[in-house]
Amino acid sequence: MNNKEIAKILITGPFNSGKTTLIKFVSDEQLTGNDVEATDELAQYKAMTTVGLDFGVLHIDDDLDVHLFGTPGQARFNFMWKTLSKGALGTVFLIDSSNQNAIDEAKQMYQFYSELSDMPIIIGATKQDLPHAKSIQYIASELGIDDTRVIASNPCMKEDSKNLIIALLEEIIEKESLAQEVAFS
Amino acid sequence: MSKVIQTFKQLPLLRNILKNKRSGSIHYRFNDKDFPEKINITTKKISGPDIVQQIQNLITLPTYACGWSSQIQSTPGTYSDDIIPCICAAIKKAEWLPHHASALKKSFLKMPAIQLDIPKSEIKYPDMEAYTALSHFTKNNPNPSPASFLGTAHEDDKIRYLKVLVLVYCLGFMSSKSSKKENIAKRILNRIRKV
Repeated sequence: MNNKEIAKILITGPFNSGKTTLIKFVSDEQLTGNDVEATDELAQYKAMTTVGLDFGVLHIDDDLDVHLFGTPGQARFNFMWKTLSKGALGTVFLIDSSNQNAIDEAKQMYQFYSELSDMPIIIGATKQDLPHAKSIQYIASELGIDDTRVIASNPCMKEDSKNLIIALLEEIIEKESLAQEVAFS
Repeated sequence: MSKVIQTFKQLPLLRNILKNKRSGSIHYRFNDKDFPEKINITTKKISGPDIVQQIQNLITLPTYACGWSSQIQSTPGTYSDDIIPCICAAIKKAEWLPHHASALKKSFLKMPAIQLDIPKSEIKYPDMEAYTALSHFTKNNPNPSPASFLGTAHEDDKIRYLKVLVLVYCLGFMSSKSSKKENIAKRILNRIRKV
């Protein structure tokens, strides 16, 4: 019988932000969601999009696996976001910096996630290399957060994908280790 | 004139130093008019009564400011066997004014459920009865918070129970149950750096 402990990390964000690619780079095994032809207003941005879940497994040691869940980016799947976030260590939230519609949608999604629980959320601003990309400061201001919480990231670069997960884990560790210190402040 | 805020912030500092087995000096002031006082914590052999008295002084009053300076090129080492008995003796001897004991207690009341991680080598705390009571309490309760532990104390035992919480907190033997999350995150971090 497999008694491995499972830790869960969510990778979320609006459509076309790089969730599938990030999971591919940081997983030992990946089950890709169904890529279907994008329809409606998404078709102008992306030929194929993920419907359903992206799922990756990273084996940590004999006793622990990490499950990475890429949540569907389309707002009509928001009923899944709440279920998936239960028990998660934290969330990497990706935003396509070059698309104002995606940033607008991210505002609503981010509000939804930040109200779900107090789990740490790290923002990855993708496609910063594109000519019309919005700045980190702009994205932070749109989300109403400090710009130190937004990290420029290219999910096509493995190191960038790793660094986002590392930033999230460091935030989780810092938050947990501070829990007992604040009692004396 | 701004009010001087004094808290027991020296306790998390002492805890961090002891947990990470650092050598260096704790500097602290009880108010903004005092000269700073200093305690040297070292991985080398330390002498008994002086350090016990110094630690007792450190933990007895809330501080206005406290800080840490490492020894040059200090790296985590192994404390000689006598640091833990010194901490034990200092806490056993410590006496707090009622309002300071109350402030200290309030800090522990804020803490979430805890777990004890006591090293195999037995510590010789002079009040083993209170120490054992805490150990049993954490083993036999699903959510053993400091608040509920203090709630089990008879009136005469309240300070003894508070002291044993200070002891396991400062020695780093106590962690919040949620620190399981911290351990998991550290393991993932070590692994992902190798991906």
